[in-house]
Amino acid sequence: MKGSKTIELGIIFFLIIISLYFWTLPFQKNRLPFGDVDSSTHFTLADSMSQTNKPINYLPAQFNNTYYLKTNNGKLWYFPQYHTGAAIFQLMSGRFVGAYLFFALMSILIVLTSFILIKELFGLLPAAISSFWLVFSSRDILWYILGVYPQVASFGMVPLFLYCTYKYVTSHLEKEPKQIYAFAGAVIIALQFFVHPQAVFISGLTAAIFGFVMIAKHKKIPFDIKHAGIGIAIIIVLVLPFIGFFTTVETEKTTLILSELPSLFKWYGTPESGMPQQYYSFTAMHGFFLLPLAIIGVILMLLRRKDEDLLMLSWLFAYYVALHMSLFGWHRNLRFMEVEAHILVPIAVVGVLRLPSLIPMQKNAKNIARIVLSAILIISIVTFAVNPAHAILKNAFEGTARITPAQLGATEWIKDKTNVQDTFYLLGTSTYTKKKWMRVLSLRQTNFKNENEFSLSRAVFNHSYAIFDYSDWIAAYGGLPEPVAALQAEEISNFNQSRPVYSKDNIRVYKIG
Amino acid sequence: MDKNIAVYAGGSVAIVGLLEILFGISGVLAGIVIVISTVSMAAILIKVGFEEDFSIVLGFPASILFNSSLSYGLGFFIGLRNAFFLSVIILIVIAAIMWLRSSTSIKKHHKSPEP
Repeated sequence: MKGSKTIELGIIFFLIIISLYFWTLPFQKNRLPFGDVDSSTHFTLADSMSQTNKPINYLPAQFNNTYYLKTNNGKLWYFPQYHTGAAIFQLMSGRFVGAYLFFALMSILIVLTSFILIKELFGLLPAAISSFWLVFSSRDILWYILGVYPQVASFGMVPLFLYCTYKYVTSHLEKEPKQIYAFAGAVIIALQFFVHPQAVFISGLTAAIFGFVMIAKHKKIPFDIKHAGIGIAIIIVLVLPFIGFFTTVETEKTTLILSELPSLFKWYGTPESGMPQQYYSFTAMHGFFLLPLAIIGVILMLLRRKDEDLLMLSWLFAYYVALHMSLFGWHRNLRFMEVEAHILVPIAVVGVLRLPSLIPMQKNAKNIARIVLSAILIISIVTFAVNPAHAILKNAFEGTARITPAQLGATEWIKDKTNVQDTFYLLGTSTYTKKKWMRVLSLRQTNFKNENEFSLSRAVFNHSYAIFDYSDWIAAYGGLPEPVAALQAEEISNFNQSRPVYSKDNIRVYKIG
Repeated sequence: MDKNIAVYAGGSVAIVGLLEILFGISGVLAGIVIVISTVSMAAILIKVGFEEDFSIVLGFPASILFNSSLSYGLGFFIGLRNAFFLSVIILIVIAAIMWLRSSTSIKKHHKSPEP
């Protein structure tokens, strides 16, 4: 027994180390910040705290004139813990490495939490293999590198909540209730609220479905109302001090949309905009062998229907419901899709490892068959999942796709040499995402058009400074392409009497007012 | 237990070592704080009655969110950095008290009977 505990701990540390190595690949060599549109927002909430060494209640200057101000009347619209955590890591380990180490660590939670749940339900071998597989889950990796989204971490805590639910419910049904797990489950729900409330929906719905299934199977209530009451009280006490940061944009517009009924017959429901079509392709995301194995796993679980099988199937059904929330006017299925691998990978691994028990043969032969199948699974994961994941992580936001040293230099000059009340107009930066990065790295109100803008409008002159950034174009083309050259001509004709207050690496800043 | 302690120590050193190789002193600082916070929170959870592996895995996010909640509240008064150090110290003290109390009660329990 002691030996197996040692092996379990060894596997946990092994999983932490390989996850850490792979998930930090995007910033091992190039330590400048990366990510698509929302990443800069998450980064700057933390950065605003670490730069001033003070927490924030209200959105800082760089959010002026942005739609974020409307989300929660100018206050933070997330619980502050996730961004405060990143700020603390920045104070310890530097502005970029600190923040991104925090984001990576929180994003790999699922690998460890899944191990704990699946080990409890199905044993060490399925847990180790499925967690190893999850290290290379494309959807999780995409959400992490595109936006360092807090929900990646919050979804990662779902298995811990389900672990507590399972331990409590099964102990209650055996008439030896371990209420400590009901209370731990409540604490985990509060932690999920602090990181991202969306995952609470999956936790709560799975527990509710599992509860109903247990009532149907065992013909008795699988929990004590007193324990549930204390659990709810724990959630309220922990969450209440931060409730001002909770916004309910989605639930406010709940309405039944009958035209969405046909979407119930499509696995991914109604696709949303914002992600490439490939994101909705099962094989593009998970490879070709997850689906058949998961189908085997689901069939075997439906046939066996032990409590642990029913918990996994409840989780799968909760996921299906979450995918089809467009029926009620909600538009978040895009993000719920991240949960898919968390459920299907363990179901697939459990299914494969259960196959030998279906064939009549000696116990020894069954064990050997399981070992052979495990080896085949691990080789398949290494062959088909590791390489694509490694490529995505290693090549994330290469070259001018992420902020460059030239652009960082300009933003640091602005941050250090101008006043927080000053306003800036940014022209020339190649993409919308990078314009947002320029804004947040300078910690100043920086206005720009979302699309490319190659001529000077009157709006430019209503700001304290104008920034002309040609660095990406010159890096990419070796010179300025036609429309950008026209912008430079306008810059010269309008600012020929002024000396730029900053001029370096093809970026110039002029003082206007 | 000895074997497990060796695994804890080896695993912690490996995590901090990997972070040192990848990110130098920035990685080491983050690694040390993660290990200390997680181990303290895990120690509390173990004493409360949870399994060792569950405590370690829950200990990581729980310690991060404990530190950030406390740092957020206290940071308005003493600055974020000081608030964070204070919250880590509070975590370590709680863990130490729980372990000391339990070892004292074990000693009392195993007191040899009076002649």
